Amino acid sequence: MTFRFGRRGRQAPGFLWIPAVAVGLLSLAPVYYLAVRSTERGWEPWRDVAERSLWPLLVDSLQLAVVVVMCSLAIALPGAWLTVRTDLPWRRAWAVALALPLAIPSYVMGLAVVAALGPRGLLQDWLQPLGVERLPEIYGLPAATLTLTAVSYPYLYIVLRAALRAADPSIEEAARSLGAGRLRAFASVTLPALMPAIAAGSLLVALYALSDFGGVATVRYTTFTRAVFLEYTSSFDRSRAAVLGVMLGVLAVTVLMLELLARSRYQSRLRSARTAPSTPIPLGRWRWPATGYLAIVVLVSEVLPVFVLCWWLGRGIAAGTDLPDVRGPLEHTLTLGLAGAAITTVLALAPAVLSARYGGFMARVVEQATFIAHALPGLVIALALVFFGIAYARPLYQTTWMLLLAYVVLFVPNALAALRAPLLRQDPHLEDAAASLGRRPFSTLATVTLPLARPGASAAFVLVFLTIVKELPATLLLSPPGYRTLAGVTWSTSSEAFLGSAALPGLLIIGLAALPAAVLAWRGDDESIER
Amino acid sequence: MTRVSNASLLEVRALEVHYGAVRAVAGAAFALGEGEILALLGPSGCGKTTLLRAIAGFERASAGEVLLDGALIESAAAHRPAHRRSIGMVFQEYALFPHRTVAQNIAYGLEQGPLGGVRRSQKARERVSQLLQLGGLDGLASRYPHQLSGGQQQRVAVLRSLAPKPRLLLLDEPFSNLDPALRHEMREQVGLLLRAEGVSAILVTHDRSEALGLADRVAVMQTGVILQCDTPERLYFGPVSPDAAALSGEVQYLDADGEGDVAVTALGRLRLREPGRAGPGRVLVRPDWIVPCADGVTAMVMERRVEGALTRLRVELETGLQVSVAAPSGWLAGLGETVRLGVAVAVPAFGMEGASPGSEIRDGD
Repeated sequence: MTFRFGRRGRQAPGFLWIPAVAVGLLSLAPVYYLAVRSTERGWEPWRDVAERSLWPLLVDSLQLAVVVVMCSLAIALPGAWLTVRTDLPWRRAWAVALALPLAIPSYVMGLAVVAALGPRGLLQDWLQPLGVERLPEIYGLPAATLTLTAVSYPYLYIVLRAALRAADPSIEEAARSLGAGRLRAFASVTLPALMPAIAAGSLLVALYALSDFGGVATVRYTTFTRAVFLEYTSSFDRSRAAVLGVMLGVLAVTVLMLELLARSRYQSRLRSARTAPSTPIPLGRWRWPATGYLAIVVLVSEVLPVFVLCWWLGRGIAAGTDLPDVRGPLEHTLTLGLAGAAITTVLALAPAVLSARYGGFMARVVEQATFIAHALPGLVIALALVFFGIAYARPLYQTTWMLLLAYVVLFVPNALAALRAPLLRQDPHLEDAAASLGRRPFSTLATVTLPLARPGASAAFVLVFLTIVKELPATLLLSPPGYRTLAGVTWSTSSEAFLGSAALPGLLIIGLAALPAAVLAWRGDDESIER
Repeated sequence: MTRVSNASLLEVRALEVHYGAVRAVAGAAFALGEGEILALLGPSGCGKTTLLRAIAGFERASAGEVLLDGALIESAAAHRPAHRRSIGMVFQEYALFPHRTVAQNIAYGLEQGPLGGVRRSQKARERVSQLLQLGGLDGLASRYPHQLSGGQQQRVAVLRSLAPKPRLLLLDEPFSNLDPALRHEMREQVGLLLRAEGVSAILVTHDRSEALGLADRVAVMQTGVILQCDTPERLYFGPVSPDAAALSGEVQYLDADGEGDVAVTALGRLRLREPGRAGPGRVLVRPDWIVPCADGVTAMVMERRVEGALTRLRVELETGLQVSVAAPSGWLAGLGETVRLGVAVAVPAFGMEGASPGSEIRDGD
């Protein structure tokens, strides 16, 4: 009996479908349950939300997304171009440094922005002797923009870097041989070729800005996510939170669809590229201004948060205040990170193998199912899982298993993407070759496919670990009572307006996340060089 | 050449393979004898690779049958999975396992157990070193595929598929990724390897000289249909249809009148390959069949182009008809010279009464 979901004739081993379909269903369950929960009380809460808060929230959320995308472009485009195409001094180091804000959670960045630039912040302290009594108001849109730009521009930067590396430099040379100057060649040939990548990366940043909860909450800017959280924690009736969650989900899925559209266009444009690296463009006297610009970016997005946290830690120690006990939270965060990364990577393996090595309709369905969950903000998934846990999974609710389940739903798509890339690069006939040499499907999987998945699996593990360590909303909503993580401690102490206590756990998070982030940035570079 | 014994190893009967609504293979039928090498020749997209993959077990048949050693291995209802067919395959891009060394690649089909390598017997090791020697790859056993040249990778792919002594070996355009000089050399080497191992093989190619030079028999394929399956000699000198003629070599047709054993043409009275034809029709005269002949018709050389081993001439006959001639370069006919020409072989006729059925006449180019 042959059971074929896959491409004609190419049989995926049947036993792969069970975990793959399970992962797909798991990803859809919270979405489904959120929809059910939001309509449970009829249209009353919908009308209520639509009349009272929909428009202001929509305007404020989109406004933030647009401003953050523009600021990110202003950093990522020159950053990518300088580190890929020019003779910028230490460009390998800059390439990694510009990606490192990936290690800084948005709520830590928000905290640092407020502590540095807020009323009674560091800047105010320093300027006091000079007679400056009040700094301009920072809470709200300015702080939210600064915070989210600092933490989300790397996503755009990484996409642009890859696109620039893959884009054929000879088209720019062709333009120059036809009489275009350097600037015109870039503007008329390279930039248009990059447009789909710019669109895809910008939408990714927009999705981040719409989904982020910790950053906007610390700087008190109310977007959909913050509104959902406030409804959830403050009111007895949670159906309004569910309704807002659905609205945010629809918005996010729309953005992700646009992103997928843009991505499919730029991938088709990049296919031809397999060219020798071009000679770097000499910057001449522009090299120092360029270096200065990148230095400011790194200063604000990386040095500032670390410095502020250290400053507060030092003050706390000097003042003799009790430091929060971080040993327990550190242990919990490490446990969750390692276990979550391992489970997520293992679960992503079956769908990744099916979609990268066998293809076919069902593999696409499973992949799309996980990506819908990926579009939804962590807060929305967490909310859905709270409802789901209370209604159907009481024994799991408020256990670490529920939290791990949330991480799986949230991060399987990231793991899937990391696993797929190296698998796709291999000759599509390797499994056929093994079969023609007499190997059964299971044996082929064990001796050919899985060994080839190893580099992707380690990248997926590192990526998911890093993301779990930083994750806030699911951790807040789903942690068992009394089970404190670094993210949870940072969040709760910061909302008690005592930054001294938030400093140590915040620094630990950055410390845990920085190494994996650096490894990923460095390795991503190597891979594109090999191509 | 190893000639074929009577028992057929592989039988393909009225095989059809569909891709959705597209019929990629339409009623293919042929048989392959023990030790025989068959080439599937045709333009890209003619269905030859699909036919090969259906024999290997990677595509499903929608009608017809494939039998190996008399046992049904593929039909619309039955399907023996690829790994239980004992049919080896050499892939176009070789599909070498990138995480295994040359020796480990070759040993792959000899390993036992689901995880492989668990029980590597002495016998398996001997087989690997024997094959490495046979392929001239002794020093490269512990290299990885990306450290090899294209020709070396190709030999590893062939040796890997030969290692478990398959009943039948399938080769999918095995030389198309090599540069022309190397391609010729590899063709010879692979031919020697196959015959040294005594393995039966089917080779898919779009290169005529590769098919004709390497195979015992050649099947020409077009739009999913096998037009003719014959020895290289019979295919080249006696194609059954203009399409088969065009796929197996350069074509040129002359108007002719059949008179029993001969046909009357502008090039004189030509011997017919199949006597007993009458009436108007056309005969195939490939450019390289025209040779200098003391009592032949006279012609003037109008164009002359040296292409290495061959010199291409365009000559005008007394009737005003121009024909093209591929002459050995040793035959020095200068531009404007008058030469006498004849045809060295018996020519196939199309469209005459009593000619092969279903032949359509088409102008050659």
